[in-house]
Amino acid sequence: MGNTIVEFKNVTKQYGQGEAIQLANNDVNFTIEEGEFVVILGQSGAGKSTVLNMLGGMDTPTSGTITVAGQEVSKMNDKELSEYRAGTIGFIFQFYNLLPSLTAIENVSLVKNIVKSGPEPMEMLRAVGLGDHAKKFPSQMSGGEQQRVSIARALAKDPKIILGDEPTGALDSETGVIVLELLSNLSRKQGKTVILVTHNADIAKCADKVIRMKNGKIREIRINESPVPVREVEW
Amino acid sequence: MLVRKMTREIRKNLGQFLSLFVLSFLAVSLFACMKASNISAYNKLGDLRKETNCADGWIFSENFSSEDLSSVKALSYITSAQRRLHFKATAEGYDQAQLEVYGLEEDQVSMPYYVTGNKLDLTSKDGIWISESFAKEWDLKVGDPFAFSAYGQILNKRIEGTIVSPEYQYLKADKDLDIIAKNIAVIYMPVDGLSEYFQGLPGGLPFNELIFTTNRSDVKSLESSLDEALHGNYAVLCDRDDMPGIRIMKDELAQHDQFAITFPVVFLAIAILVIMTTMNRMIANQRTQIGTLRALGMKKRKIIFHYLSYSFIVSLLGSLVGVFVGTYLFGEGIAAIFRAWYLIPGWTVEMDASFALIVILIVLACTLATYFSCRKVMNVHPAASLRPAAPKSGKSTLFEKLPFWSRLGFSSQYNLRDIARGKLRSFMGVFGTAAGMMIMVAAMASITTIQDASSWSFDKIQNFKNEIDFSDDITLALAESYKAKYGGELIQTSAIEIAKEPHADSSKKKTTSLMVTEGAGYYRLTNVDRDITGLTPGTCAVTMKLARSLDLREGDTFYWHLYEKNTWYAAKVGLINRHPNFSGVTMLRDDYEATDAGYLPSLLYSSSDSVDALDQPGILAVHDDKDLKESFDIMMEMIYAMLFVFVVFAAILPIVVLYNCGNLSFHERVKEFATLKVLGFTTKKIRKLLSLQNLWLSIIGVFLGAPFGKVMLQYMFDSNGDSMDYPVSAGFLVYLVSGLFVMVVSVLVSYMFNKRIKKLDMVEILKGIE
Ligand SMILES: Nc1ncnc2c1ncn2[C@@H]1O[C@H](COP(=O)(O)OP(=O)(O)OP(=O)(O)O)[C@@H](O)[C@H]1O
Ligand SMILES: [Mg+2]
Repeated sequence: MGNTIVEFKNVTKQYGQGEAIQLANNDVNFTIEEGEFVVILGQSGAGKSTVLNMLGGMDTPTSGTITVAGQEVSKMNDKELSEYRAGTIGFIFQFYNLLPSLTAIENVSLVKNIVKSGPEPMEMLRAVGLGDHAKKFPSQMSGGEQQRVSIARALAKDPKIILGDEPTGALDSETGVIVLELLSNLSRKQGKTVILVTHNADIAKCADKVIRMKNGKIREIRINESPVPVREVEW
Repeated sequence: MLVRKMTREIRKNLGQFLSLFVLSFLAVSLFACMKASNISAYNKLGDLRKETNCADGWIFSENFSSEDLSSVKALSYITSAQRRLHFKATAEGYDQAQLEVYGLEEDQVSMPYYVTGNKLDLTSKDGIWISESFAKEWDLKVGDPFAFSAYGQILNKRIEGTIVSPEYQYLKADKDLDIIAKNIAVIYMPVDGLSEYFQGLPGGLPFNELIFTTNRSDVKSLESSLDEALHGNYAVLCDRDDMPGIRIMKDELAQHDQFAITFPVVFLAIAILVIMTTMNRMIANQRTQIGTLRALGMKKRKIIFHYLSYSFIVSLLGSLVGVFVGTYLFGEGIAAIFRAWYLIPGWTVEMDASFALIVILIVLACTLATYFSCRKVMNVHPAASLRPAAPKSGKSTLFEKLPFWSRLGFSSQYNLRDIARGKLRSFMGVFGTAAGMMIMVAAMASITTIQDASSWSFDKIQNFKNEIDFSDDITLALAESYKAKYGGELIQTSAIEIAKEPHADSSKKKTTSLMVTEGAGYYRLTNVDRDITGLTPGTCAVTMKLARSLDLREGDTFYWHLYEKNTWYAAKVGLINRHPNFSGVTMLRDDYEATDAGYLPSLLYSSSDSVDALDQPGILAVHDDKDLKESFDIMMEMIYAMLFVFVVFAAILPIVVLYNCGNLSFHERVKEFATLKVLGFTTKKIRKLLSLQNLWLSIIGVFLGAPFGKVMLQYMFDSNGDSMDYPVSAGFLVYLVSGLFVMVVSVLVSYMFNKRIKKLDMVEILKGIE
């Protein structure tokens, strides 16, 4: 560890104008090291998703700079952002967002249209333990299974950074643990940078770094010297 | 509250509602445009006939005596009758225009309709009353001198008035293929003005026509009593349907009536598809809203009514605008075009009750289509409809059974599945592009068809340079001398009636033309495959459509008689032939002379440059092939003028349906596109993904629509009546150009989504479940 991969510098995100002005992020500063397992914690409306969306290149800050792997994301145009999302980021959604008309394997394979290199889709499906479900459509799978397909889809791009916005939010705790363990292993075993958003403080115990937010500001950044293995967390 | 919701919804779905507006507008305006000029034509025609006391019946013979007239007048069902003299003449100057001269002793039946000048004065020996259409072309005014020749005499007269004859709404020179107003006129004049010129004729002035009005509706049923009154001294009895000047206009109007129904049907069908797909989506999207409204206690009827009002209001607006624009803009345009051809004084546009009917019909169809779309949701229990609809489940589709399925890329698999999910929408896309393609092919093929008919006419059939027209006073000896001088082939043309049995009654015989050739190859026959063939001596050629209508085949015997004589002859069909605009019987001179019908040539087809032929006795006019091609050129010009309209329609259909298809499939998959965007798909890739489907649908539409374009055009050409035989010719180029055009439209439509994909707000769309 040691290489800084993400840097937020005086990042502000403002919604609305005049009276109805709303600062979703207010002067946010933090760094994330390569291979870290980071959890962004905070109450509803704290600005967590805003941070993650900007980091993921889906949204742009009103002011400040966001630097990822040496590139200044906050300055990219539409096309560069597409490339950035395709090459650097793997995004996992709360509600999986698989394409309902495609089977599990097709959902994973579709990223091969934008990233030619990287692991085999079927391998990724096996890696998340769904080798037998390849031909199933999303509607024929449980939420946890769908989320694992969505992780496989993110991994098939071989991204440097995995972002997850409440990836376990729609799952029961047992399934949530399976998904969470998968994600933490990506950091622990494959050296990927994993950044998750949650309002569940228990999950934070497993992280290397916890960024706590409130009212659009960073409240606390805490380095966890001895993260708890996911299996041992109770929630 | 619901009203506000409605205006907001309409604004949100502007594209679809605009399409619905445009489609109902097009359907109604097309109907109105065809119909409005027709209604006016029928009304004004009625007025004209009443005002001029237009004849109901025409009897032809070599001469009617005044006793004949009195005995016809004495018949109880005859309300008025008069005899008159009719012959063809040639204008002195004025491109030797053809003149239909009527010498009148009374002015009771088929009186002229006056445009300028004085009323007909039967004592004005030097006066003539001439067609307004002709006078306008040549800038002739009342008081101008006008000379014409007939029977070897030159008659110097003065124009006393310009008129419209109630018997000639369709006024076309014999040599022309189409109406060219400057080439023909009708002349009414007192018979006294002719007497000095016809003194030499045996038997004095031949009153060869007897015209009458009757209070019976079926003129033909009067034949036996008329026959009795005239002691059989007549050749033919005709009603209005037998008079080309009247019938052809009637056919044209009937054709418009037909188009007024067929064209709007296509647009209506597409409008219904747009409505069903739009409403299906809107209501599916608002499932929870509907559930909430119902849970709040709103009556089912009220909610349905609310949704019905969307399409009701939009289609009503479109239809109403369509009625007025269709009538006063498009309809007036149509009337203006046809006014230049068909002569009906005061012809403009009018509406009638059928306009209200079509508006009601279209609005009803649109509203009903909506009703069927909402009904499904309404029948869901409120509690159930409050839950979001089960997401459209992915499942295996038929396409996956394709052997090469697994080798298809993601884009293809994704789009094929989407097509399987949105069958109605896909059908709409195919149907709309097919309709656009159909119109486009018809438009393009109309050019090549005319070109083809022109080369058929001039390269195959007409193998001569000049047509020398003889006047009625030509003698056979004189005609032969011209043939010796200029070379070529003598032709006789006559009006005849033919039937499968001799002395057939009116219902079984057909009025048509006879062409007597010398078989010398200056005028050639073409068979059903349009290859040049000869005629076997002893047999006749019958044109294909005529043969079909009489059920005549090669080898059959048929019977014919000259129009003005009542002697029937038998003849054998040796060839079924085709000609673009001649319908009738062709016979060799030897065979014709073997009858006692009396051979007298009407023209000479010559290959020499017989420019000096004019101004010789017995010669009426000389037309070179440029003259003869003029009609084709005019037809061509007309088609080029209409081409623009066709191309616009051909573009509107694919634009409307493909935009709607794209829109619907964009809305249905917006979340998926946002997901793809997050995954790193570029705008271009997503646009291609979206438009791939439209591209396929339009390719299918292009292939399906292409053959129908030919069918539609053939139908349009055939609706011109049996005298025209234009086989639609559409080469590869026609299909290529039309197909490319539709595909370019399709590709351009896909760019309409570019901006929306670029602006796609990933954060917003992916925030929640719904
Ligand atoms: N498009 C928007 N327009 C206006 N305000 C917005 C918009 N998106 C977010 N906000 C505001 O920004 C603030 C931060 O939102 P954000 O989605 O980042 O919160 P969050 O921490 O992810 O909350 P949650 O845990 O509920 O998902 C909220 O107060 C929200 O109201
Ligand atoms: Mg959030």
